[in-house]
Amino acid sequence: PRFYRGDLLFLTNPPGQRYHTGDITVYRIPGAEIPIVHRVLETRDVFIPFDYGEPHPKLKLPPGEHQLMLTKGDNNHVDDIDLYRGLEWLDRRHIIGKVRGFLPYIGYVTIAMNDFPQLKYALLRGLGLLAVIQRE
Amino acid sequence: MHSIYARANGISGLWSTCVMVLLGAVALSSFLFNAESKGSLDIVSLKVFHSKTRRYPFRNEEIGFVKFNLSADLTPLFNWNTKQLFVYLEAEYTNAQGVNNTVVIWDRIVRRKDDATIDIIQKEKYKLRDLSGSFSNVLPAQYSLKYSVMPYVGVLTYGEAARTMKAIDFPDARDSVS
Repeated sequence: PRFYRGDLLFLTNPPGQRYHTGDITVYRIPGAEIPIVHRVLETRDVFIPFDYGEPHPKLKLPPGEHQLMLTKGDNNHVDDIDLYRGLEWLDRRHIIGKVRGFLPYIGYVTIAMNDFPQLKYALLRGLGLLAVIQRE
Repeated sequence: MHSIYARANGISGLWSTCVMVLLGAVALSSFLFNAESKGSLDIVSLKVFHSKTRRYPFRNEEIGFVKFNLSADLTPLFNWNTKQLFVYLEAEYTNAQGVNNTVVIWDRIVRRKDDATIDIIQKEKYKLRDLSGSFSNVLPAQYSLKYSVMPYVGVLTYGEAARTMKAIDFPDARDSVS
């Protein structure tokens, strides 16, 4: 959703929070390295009753309340199923948080440091030099 | 302030404080614009067919096809801190097992104030299907148009622009062209 590399996102994730369609969530699939920032397309609140001896056969979820979600990037044509690595729905535990606020371009300092390690070393050397030269 | 280092330190400190205060002011200015927008939403037709999706070609499912008539004026939501507006039409319903579902069936990104009036009769973009695969045990659905304002700097805000007057029942599933 028009977030660029280097933007700072403020996330909240209070434990009892319900997610709604239209929320921008950051989620990570177990086994995937990077978290993905996409918008919720569908939510389905299911309650798996404790009567079942084993997890519900069709949904493969443990008993309790679950909020199942499907996400999609705004500029993509299809939803994120291909990114889910075999999962059909996202569960609450996959979500790192919901985006509340936003500061552009702040992250570029860190990105510049990571992309150009010479910059990092040059800065460290410069700071070391200053520490040595300084009198106070 | 008698060395270049001390001067540079002072200037950069002042500069970063000014930038942070400016960004904070821009973010707070969004709260001054308490705009709301209203529109109207009607469902022209709603049909349910036995269908297969391309993704799960072996599942027999019922898929809902919605045609809706939407008119909304979203221009009051555009202010100097609005980067873009994300508008989405969603269907909310509960099925007989008590599962609450909200499904987005259509969305649009509005980047400029000129594009902010919507007056369309259109079909859904995304498939409307139920977890159980059938709409026969599903309570009537409400459709609503919601929006999300994305600022250049600051807090994301949400709102609702239109809603169907009454809940609409799902018809029985038909077989498609046979």
